[in-house]
Amino acid sequence: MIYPTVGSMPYLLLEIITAFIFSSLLLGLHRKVIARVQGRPGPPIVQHLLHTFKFYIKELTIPKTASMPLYIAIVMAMDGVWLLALIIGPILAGPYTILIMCYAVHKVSEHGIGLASGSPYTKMGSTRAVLSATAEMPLVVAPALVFFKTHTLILGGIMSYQMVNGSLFWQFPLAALATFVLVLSKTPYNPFGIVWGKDIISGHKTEHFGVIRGCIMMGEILGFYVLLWCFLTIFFGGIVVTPLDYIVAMTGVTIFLGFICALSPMVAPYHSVMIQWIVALLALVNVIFV
Amino acid sequence: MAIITTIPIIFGIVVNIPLVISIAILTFFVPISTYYFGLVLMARAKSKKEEEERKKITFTGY
Repeated sequence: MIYPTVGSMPYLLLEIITAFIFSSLLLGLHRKVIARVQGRPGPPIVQHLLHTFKFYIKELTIPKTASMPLYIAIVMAMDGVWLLALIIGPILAGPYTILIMCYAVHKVSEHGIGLASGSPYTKMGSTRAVLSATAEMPLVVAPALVFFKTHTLILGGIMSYQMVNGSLFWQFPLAALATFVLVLSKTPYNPFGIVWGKDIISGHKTEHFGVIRGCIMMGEILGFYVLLWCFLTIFFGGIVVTPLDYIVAMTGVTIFLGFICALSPMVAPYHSVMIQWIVALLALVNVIFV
Repeated sequence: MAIITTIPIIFGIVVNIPLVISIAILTFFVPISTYYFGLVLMARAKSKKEEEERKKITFTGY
């Protein structure tokens, strides 16, 4: 049997499909955990995957107020950005800086998705996307600390450093906490999820139906996988090594995230930013360990 | 459009191309081809539903 070589197109495609299916199952598990904690039976774990595919056969309705072709192009851009992040990060273990840039562009695309439809709810969601972007300090703090310690921002190099010197979690526990809060803020139904808060219907996604909603969900699924992978690789690279380790660790973190999301209410927009800032500033205390 | 946007991906699978070009093709064409395939699926589901509606025997009254 011929296996595709690493870096070839079939190999990349196989990895992308595997990550997509696994991450959508994780998000299904996340919903299940929330439901069980709240005393409900909850949907089956495969529901999130089915939900994504379901949107592909639903009718696409484009609002009259939508600014075309941005309305569709910006969603494609978001999917492309997360695909790039998936290839550069989990698949090739390349530069961490490109992942940060992907993340920044993701925020811009979230803003654009909200603006493109012309609805006041989506505009409110896009405004909150910009506001929440100010809370992404851990995205800068953590790599800076990691760089001064490991002298590299190539993910493969960071992994190699941890194989020799042990996980960075033991050296930067507060930076790990700040990054965990960042991962939490990107999980559905989280206390900091002001962008898609139910007080503004579905936030920036309110006016996106059918195929477009399916594409947005595809991007979010890939994004969740990339963020989880980054968190585990950067801080637990000495413990989480094999694919089986990643499966177990990602499942464990998802269950933990589910507990947090189930038990905490959504905070107000300014409080959300303020709490994340405090955690990020706490992470700076770890500078003394560099 | 669904077929056209899939051609570069199939080309990349069949022919061994450099990594950078593979990444560029995947990040650009996978979302677009997914979108167009979604439109095809949507149109098929819609026409199937309309066909079922058309074939449905309705009671017209006495």
